[in-house]
Amino acid sequence: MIEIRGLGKDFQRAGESVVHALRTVDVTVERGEFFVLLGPSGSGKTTLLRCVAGLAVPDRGEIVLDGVTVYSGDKRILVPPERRGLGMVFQSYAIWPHMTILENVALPLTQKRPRLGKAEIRERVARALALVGLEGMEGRPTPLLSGGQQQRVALARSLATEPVVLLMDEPLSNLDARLREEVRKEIRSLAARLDITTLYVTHDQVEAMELADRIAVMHEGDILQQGSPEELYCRPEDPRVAQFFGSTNWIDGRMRDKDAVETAVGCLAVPDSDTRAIGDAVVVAVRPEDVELIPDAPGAVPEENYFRGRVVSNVFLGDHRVYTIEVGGFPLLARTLASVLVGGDISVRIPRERVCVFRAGSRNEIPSAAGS
Amino acid sequence: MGSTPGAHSQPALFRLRQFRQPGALSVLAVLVVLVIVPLFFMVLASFRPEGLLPLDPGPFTVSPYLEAFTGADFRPIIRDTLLYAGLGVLFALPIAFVFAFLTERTDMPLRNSMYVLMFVPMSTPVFATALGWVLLLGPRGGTVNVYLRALFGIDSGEGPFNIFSMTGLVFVHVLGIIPTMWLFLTAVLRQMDPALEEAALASGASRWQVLRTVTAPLMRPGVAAVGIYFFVTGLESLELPLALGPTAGIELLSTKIFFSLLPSADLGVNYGIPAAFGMLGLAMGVLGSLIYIRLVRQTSQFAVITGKGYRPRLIALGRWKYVALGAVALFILMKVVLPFAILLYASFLRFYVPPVLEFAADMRWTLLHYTRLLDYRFFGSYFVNTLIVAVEAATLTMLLVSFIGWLVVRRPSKLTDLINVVAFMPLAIPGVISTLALFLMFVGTPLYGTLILLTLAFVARYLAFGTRLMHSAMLQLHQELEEASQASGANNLQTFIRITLRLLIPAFLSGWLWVLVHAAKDFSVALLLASAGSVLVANIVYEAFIGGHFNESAAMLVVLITFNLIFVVAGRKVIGQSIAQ
Ligand SMILES: Nc1ncnc2c1ncn2[C@@H]1O[C@H](COP(=O)(O)OP(=O)(O)OP(=O)(O)O)[C@@H](O)[C@H]1O
Ligand SMILES: [Mg+2]
Repeated sequence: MIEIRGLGKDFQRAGESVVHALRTVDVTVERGEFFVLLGPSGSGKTTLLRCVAGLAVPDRGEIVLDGVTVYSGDKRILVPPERRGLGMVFQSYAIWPHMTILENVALPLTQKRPRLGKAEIRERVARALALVGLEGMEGRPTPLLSGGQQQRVALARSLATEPVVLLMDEPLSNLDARLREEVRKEIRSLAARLDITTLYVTHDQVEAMELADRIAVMHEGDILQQGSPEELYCRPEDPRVAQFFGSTNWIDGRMRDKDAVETAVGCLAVPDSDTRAIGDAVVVAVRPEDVELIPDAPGAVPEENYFRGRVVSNVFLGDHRVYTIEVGGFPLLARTLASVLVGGDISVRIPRERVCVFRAGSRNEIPSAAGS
Repeated sequence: MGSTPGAHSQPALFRLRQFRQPGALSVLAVLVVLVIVPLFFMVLASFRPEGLLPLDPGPFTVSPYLEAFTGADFRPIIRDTLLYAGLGVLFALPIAFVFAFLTERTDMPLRNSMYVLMFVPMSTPVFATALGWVLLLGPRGGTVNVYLRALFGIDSGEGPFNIFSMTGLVFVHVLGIIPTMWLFLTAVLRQMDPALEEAALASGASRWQVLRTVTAPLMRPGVAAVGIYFFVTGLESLELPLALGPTAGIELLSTKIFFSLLPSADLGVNYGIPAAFGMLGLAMGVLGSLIYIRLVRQTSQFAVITGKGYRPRLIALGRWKYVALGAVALFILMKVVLPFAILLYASFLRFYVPPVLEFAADMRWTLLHYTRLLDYRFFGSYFVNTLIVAVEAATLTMLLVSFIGWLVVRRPSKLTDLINVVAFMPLAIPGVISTLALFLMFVGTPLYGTLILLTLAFVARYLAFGTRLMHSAMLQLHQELEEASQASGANNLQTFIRITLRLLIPAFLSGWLWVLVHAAKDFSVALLLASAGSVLVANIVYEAFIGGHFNESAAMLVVLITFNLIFVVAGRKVIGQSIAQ
């Protein structure tokens, strides 16, 4: 549905160095898919979205929407935004303050060719407003709407023409936490119900996990990894991806065998890998919730990745606790529902298949210009 | 690279056209014709011998320069011009600054009404103030002088004050520039983040120390920039030197240019001398502007963006607030009330006598000066002409600068940088000189003597002001409001009209009103450019004044001022409503 191939865009301001907002981006979004672009501030998410919408002109690459090439650097093709037939929700909502809700939502409809009749437009506005729970508010002036209502108007406006592709740039970032959760659910069910292909930008990983069929993690103009939320969470290919989803224990070590790493915690059994040689310096990532706490039972059978340590501290977070366990001098974070005694000895187990191994130093590395 | 793309397979597609900006190119062309080409004509004219138009075939010569710069009047002209512009700034700046400080930073009563109070003097013709003060401070019959002589028993029949002097010129000039200067300085004051001062206060500095160590250094470049700007404005001032100068025997650069343009019976066309003086004025203007640009750049380094609606704590004036209010009232009295009152009085008199009891018997009251205005020529022609030119100028200027503002903010490129530079060039060109240059470009063409030419002159003059206004209005407009329209399927032009222009209406209207009122009150363009086919009110007022018919010109000025005031008040109301919407 949306195919982005080798897309690049640089910004050059007078007297400043070039900013590579997009390096070489390849993304394919299937029909009906909810695709989320996730990344820290300045990673190029908005730029990518604006390129798809036609609001920014890329420097190279290709964008194909529903089989139609809307941008191609080589073939010198550029379709202006108004001819792309997309729906878009802006971060600031961009509700035109001089128009009523009706006029705001109706504007995209009045641009449709062949022209729609007045009655038809009214009806479709009403339908779009009903979709977002604002039925009957047509005549309201817009400047006095609350944030949530503005957000809904923006959504209704983008859905009024029943576009097959919907673009959203952090549409929830201006809402408070509770409203955000509520609207998030609505957006998700709306997109599924209308079978809309959605490209959604956010820097909030919880939002991304909840909404997405697939996620692409962006960093400094590159896509680090794309895949289902589960893939990204459990099998990150890049430490920065792991870093993005929740907290992680980062343990330095050295390959001792094809499937074992010598670390401060002890010798860790890890998934088999051919890409690293014995003796390579590596860094190991273990999620706190993957650290199992096993109350000391004398005579327990030592298993694989079974270590002994001491409970140093405890943070209560309502529905769970985070303990710091000192293992071989290393402060290991463990997240659990159970409660154990601070100061006591304890055993921990780390399941081999949950351990991720990365090349040492790759955490702070600048991504290379060539995309993989 | 430039080969035809394979567009035939995909019909709805467009070629890349990011580097083609037909709109920007045509705007640049308009600006170049309005601003740069006329200067080119002035340069040409300054090298042509007597009797030749700039483009006539024939020899080139430096004799206009020699003649202009070696004349006996050259040194006094330069000295007096610099004195006039310099002293004007020297006296006006402190007063305007105090007023600005009182409005922005103290609890002076009525401070919120200052904008109305100051907009009124801004919209009255300088010529009216000048004429008013001639009637008040003329050496013989000036009302103030008559009273003072009676009070102190002086029976010399003249003085003690004489408006026809350098002091008189500077006095009225200072009165004239204070309102606009005040407006600029309030902006400078508002640009500064009050938190900077409050931080100093919190760290234990006294008010006076804060003023000296924080406020003053931060404001110095901004205030100096305003000073330089008004120095250049002083160079271009024509109406006042024209009203007072000849009687006082003082000639300035602007009046010299004006008088040497006047066709005289014995001499044919000789545009070389005014053009040579024009080049001199241009050089002074450019020099001043270079300093101005440097200073402005310095201030923008200091500028700290403050939070919306964040107002500094106001200094409580206590009993001093009546002194402050009194000073403002005195200024309004001198700038507006007194001159207007005496003009009003004079306009109802058959022959002018000072408003003094002993002349009561000689006061012959009449409506004649007004009824005469009702005849076809004044209202049907000159007044309508003024109105047409002012409305045309305001509309054209604002449309042009709105488009420029949009281009510069939303479609930045090398081309729009250039547009920006050319649009601001009029700041460096004293108005009299740009009008002179337009005159030299169009004299002898069919356009000369038409209202269109007058309109163009005003557009060129208010270009920089408008560009500035619309630029900042545009910056405040969130880009996504326009993008949402494009994403909704509206094209660039539809978006510009339905969203951009519509949301810029408040700024557009206030700019429109500003240009309208300034064009209607301006005398210099009319006096330099108008001819038989395009006479404006200003020309008639000046003619009546020269002919000694003070009462007649007083009546006309009263009508003009009333008209302007109605426009300002009505316009403010409309703008207020459009903002509230
Ligand atoms: N118009 C522009 N001119 C110059 N640089 C720009 C422009 N737009 C974006 N950039 C730069 O491109 C990079 C990517 O910006 P972008 O807005 O795409 O980031 P983002 O991922 O959307 O960030 P955020 O989460 O903060 O919105 C940034 O370094 C930014 O400074
Ligand atoms: Mg963004």
